[in-house]
Amino acid sequence: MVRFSSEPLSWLACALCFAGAPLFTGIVNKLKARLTGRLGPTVLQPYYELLRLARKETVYSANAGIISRLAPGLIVCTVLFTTLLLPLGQSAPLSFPGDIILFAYLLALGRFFQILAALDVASSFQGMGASREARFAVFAEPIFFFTIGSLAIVTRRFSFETVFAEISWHDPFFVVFVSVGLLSLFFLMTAECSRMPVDDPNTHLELTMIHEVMILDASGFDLMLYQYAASLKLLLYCSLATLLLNPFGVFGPVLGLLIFVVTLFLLALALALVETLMARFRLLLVPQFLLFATAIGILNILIFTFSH
Amino acid sequence: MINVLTILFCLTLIYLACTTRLTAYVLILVLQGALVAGVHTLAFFGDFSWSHIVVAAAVLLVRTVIIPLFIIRIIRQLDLGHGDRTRRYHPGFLIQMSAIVVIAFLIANQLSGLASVSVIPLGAAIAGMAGGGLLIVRRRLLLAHVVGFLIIENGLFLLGIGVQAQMPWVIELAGLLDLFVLVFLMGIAINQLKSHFPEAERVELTTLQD
Amino acid sequence: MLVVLVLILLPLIGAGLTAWGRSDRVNHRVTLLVGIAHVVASLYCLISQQNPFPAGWWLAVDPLASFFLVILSHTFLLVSLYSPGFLKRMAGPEYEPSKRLFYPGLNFYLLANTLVLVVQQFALIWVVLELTTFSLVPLIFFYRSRESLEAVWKYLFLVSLGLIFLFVAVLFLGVSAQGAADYTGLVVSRMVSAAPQLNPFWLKASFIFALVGLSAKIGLAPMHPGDVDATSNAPAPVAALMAGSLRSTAVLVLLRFYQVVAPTKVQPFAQKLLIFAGLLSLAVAAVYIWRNRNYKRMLAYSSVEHLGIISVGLGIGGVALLGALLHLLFSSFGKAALFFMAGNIHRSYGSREVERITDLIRRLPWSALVWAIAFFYIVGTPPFGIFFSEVFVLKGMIHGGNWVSLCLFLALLMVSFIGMSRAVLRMLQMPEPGTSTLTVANPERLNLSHVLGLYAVAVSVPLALLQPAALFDCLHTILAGFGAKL
Repeated sequence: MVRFSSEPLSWLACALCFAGAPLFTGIVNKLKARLTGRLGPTVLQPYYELLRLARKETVYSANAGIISRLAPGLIVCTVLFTTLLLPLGQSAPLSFPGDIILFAYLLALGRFFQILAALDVASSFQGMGASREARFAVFAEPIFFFTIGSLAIVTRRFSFETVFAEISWHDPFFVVFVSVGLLSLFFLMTAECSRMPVDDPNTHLELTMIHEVMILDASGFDLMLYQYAASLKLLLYCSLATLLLNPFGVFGPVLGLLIFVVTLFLLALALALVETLMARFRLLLVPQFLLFATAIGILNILIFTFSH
Repeated sequence: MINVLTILFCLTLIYLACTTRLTAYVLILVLQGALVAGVHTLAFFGDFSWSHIVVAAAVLLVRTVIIPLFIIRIIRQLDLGHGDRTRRYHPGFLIQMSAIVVIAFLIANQLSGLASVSVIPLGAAIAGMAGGGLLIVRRRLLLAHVVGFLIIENGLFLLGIGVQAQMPWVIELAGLLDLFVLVFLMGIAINQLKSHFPEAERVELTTLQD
Repeated sequence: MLVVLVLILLPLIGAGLTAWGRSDRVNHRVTLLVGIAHVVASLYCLISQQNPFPAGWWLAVDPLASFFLVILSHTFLLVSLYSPGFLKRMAGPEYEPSKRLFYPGLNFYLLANTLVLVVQQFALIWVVLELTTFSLVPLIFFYRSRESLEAVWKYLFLVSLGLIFLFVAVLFLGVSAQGAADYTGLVVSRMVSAAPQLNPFWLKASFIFALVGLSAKIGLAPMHPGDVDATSNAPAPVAALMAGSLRSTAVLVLLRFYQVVAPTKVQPFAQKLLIFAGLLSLAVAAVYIWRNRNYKRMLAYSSVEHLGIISVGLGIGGVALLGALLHLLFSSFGKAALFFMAGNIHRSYGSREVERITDLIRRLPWSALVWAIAFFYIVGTPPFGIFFSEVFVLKGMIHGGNWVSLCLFLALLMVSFIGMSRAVLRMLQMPEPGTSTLTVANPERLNLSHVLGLYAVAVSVPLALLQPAALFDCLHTILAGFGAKL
């Protein structure tokens, strides 16, 4: 049933992901800085941030309860566990039929506790962020299922590593599917990881915050956990998008790894470009933006159902 | 490969449902013209004959270059601005368009059981025609009506490919000519509306009712 | 060969000459000449029943075309006789550009319609039908007001949408012919002879799309709004032209499709569809005639009603088909008369609202007389022709046993009749004392428009009663072509 991978490569890749998540965020920040004409901080800056936060004292609001103490750890655990499900390096450390759904809902569990923690602080500011987050989550969820789910239905495999293994570059349909799916997943990533054009990670204005406002009250070790979870989530979604290309299956381990890294870098570049060039959407437009991605996903399903 | 192009056609339809910028409309028309010309070329890739090349070239020229240029001219002359000001934000239109695409593909699938058709171009064609119709019905801006009409025409072209019909090429050229004259006349009508009645700040249909 | 020249080239030359010419009088003479020659040529085709075109061409005058040609030429002649009087009244510099386009538009319209009637290839018919739409655009836009602009827009738009559906129908027809033994090339005669081999699924689909598409041009529900708006906002001669000849041209195209469908198994389906469309149009027309305040719109909806009757007759077949064709002929006459009078009334009162028009009998005695006679003509009073054609349709319904359709038909006709008579009688009667202070200074004199109107309604009487062989032989040939038995 539940299969633990026996390949050391996949466990190694997973560990690298854990360790390299802040690096990815640092790369994105560096690219953003370069694009706007600044030198920017070093790519290792997020590590320094995390270390700095770890040494600081955690202060809790007088109104905060047990959720505020539990939530950070829980969220990090969900993201860590979810990373185990991705087949980085041809087999996932953990896989079983249906782990796609576990993927989606573990992250949803994390989001749930994030929202609860925000509400727990008993400040209306965080409550506003929580409501926005909950609203956009509703629109973001179908994207994932229509994109990955359609792939699963067509290939009739229900575990990540087997689904991605079926993607081959010879069938023109898969090429179309992958391109369209990449677009969908990019939109999804901006919604889930609170990036532009859904949310601005740099702003701290009431009008425009979503994720930042939920963790506004956290400090010290808790804040470090939140930041780490956010950067790992970003890396997670970008890896998911990259795995849609199935580099390891098609090109073998070494070349596949190269392509994987290059694609990750390209995704980071795309993200940086979007963050630099675009303004954040009006909140009213965000559901439409996400529905567009869902519509693309529905189109994917239709293509597949009626051609095979 | 034809299927890939028709899928991109559907994508342009969905994009149409999200946007209100007029330059986006023009861009969609250009894209669709190129896609449709490409589909036509690929469909007859095997049998090479002058008539097919002429038709494909004419389609490309009229639908991708001439008509979008004409629409841009109308936009500039009428000073319509950047977007459709008669529209408000809500995702209803997108949902309707997605529903149309789904239903179109379902219908095409059902039809493939009854007669020999190629499902994906037929589905895209029905979606195109219904999508253009949706645009006409849901928008009050006259230019949106013209764009919807042109999208219906694009869908019609795909329909010919989808049911695997063989039309004499003279007719296809005549159809293109008709299309162009029609858009020309519509442009004149819109022009008259604007020049004769400058107090109307929005170019839309309001007065004739029963 | 001379006939060919007259039918096709002469309107073309006429359009060119009137476009170049500056004087209204010369233009009128040219158009009149073209009209008379055209009538002579079409009567010749009807009586001799010979195809003047070389065999094998894509243009031919078959019995169906000869019948419709007569309708077209006759209406055109009436309109071209009425036009100078109308144009003289439109004196004002703002009408100059419209006046310059008027006669060329008329001639071009004649050319386009003639071509539609004689073309024998489906795809070409579609192309030429677009031409008729284009030819009408400058004509409908005569008044250059906001309403006429919207009417032109709606007309152009809805009719083009309808023509797109028609294109789909032609496409499907072509697909249905792909299984046939010989290459048909979408030529009518070849399609008819290959009819049993055609794929019934595509044939059905083709007919549905053809009916829906053409209903925009014919004026059947549900695509009638563009047509109604255009007819009610166009100047009187143009409205008469549209009501009289344009709809019959579109009915011909529908009949071409029906010709291909008739020998096949799809025919019952097509017939049901036609009856349904006809009854729907009757219902819509009845509702809108009842509540209408604008008499030109009421006349336009009356056209919808009559085409509904024609559609039902086409659907029933047999003697009802004969009735439908006759009805087409007679209603075009009556509509011409009605619209001419409507033009007179509009010019005199300056309004299109029924409420503003009172005391017609005293103010415009001759127009009132012709208006009343034409009204009785159009609702089917004997001895006028429409009575006979409607009786044929009813006879066909009784023979066929379509009781439900019969009841609906009669009920809706009655509702339309009552609605229309409310408006017409109201317009005619004397005002209540105290509401009008007009004393009629110059009562209207008899002029050409009245003569034309009287002629139009009078000519149907001998045609219906005496049943001249020339006309009826042609009609019987047409019926035989459809496989209908009397």
